Amino acid sequence: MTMKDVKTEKVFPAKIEAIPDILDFISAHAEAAELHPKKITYLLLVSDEVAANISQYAYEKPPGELLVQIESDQEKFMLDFVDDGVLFDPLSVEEPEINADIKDRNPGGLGIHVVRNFVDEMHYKRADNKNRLTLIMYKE
Amino acid sequence: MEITRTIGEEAITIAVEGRLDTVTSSQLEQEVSEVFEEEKTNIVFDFASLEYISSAGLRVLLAAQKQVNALGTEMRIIGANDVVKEIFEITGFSDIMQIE
Repeated sequence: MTMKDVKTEKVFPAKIEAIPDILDFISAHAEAAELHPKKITYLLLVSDEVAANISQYAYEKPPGELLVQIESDQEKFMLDFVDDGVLFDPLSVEEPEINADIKDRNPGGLGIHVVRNFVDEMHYKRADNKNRLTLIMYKE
Repeated sequence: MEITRTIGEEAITIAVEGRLDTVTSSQLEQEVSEVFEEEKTNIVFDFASLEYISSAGLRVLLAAQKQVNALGTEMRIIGANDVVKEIFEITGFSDIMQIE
């Protein structure tokens, strides 16, 4: 059985309504890349968070576009989200107060916290007026 | 994503099948809002058929828990799978909610 290397990309509108298509695209290629089913679930979870953030906050005059790039080899599955919206570095978002009492819990910051904790690596780069968020899952 | 509401003596049970993500969480929000409107009741979320929950779904649960606390009623979550339990642990929700 040969491990299939995957390299592909697709542009989507940066809208909430496009999220199911984005997730379908990612899960199809994650399956083709033979990523473990549990990791695929994590991947869909974090992709939902990222796509939602970009759809809601990246563009002052929505909708903009979101480029999803996938590259996978024997060791890892790399997923890049590229948008040319306003500068937004998810790594700079403050951690939510996960140990606070319920009365002090606020709804914000949860999405990035989830992404951070369910991927093996997360990187952000701003270049050419674009945000590039790279998420990496190890194949093990 | 499908939601099924069951009215019991002790509580109203809301069962969710599928994923609670950015697109589907507004359905749950609507459901919870309807239940709160109807009566002061305990709520059970049956997550036996839930694949995963994203922050959008977590926010619906947080609002529901705060409301239940204000009303003096109870909220429980049952049937969560390993991934969903992990999400609750990592976000600290397992400390502020009754998850069985």
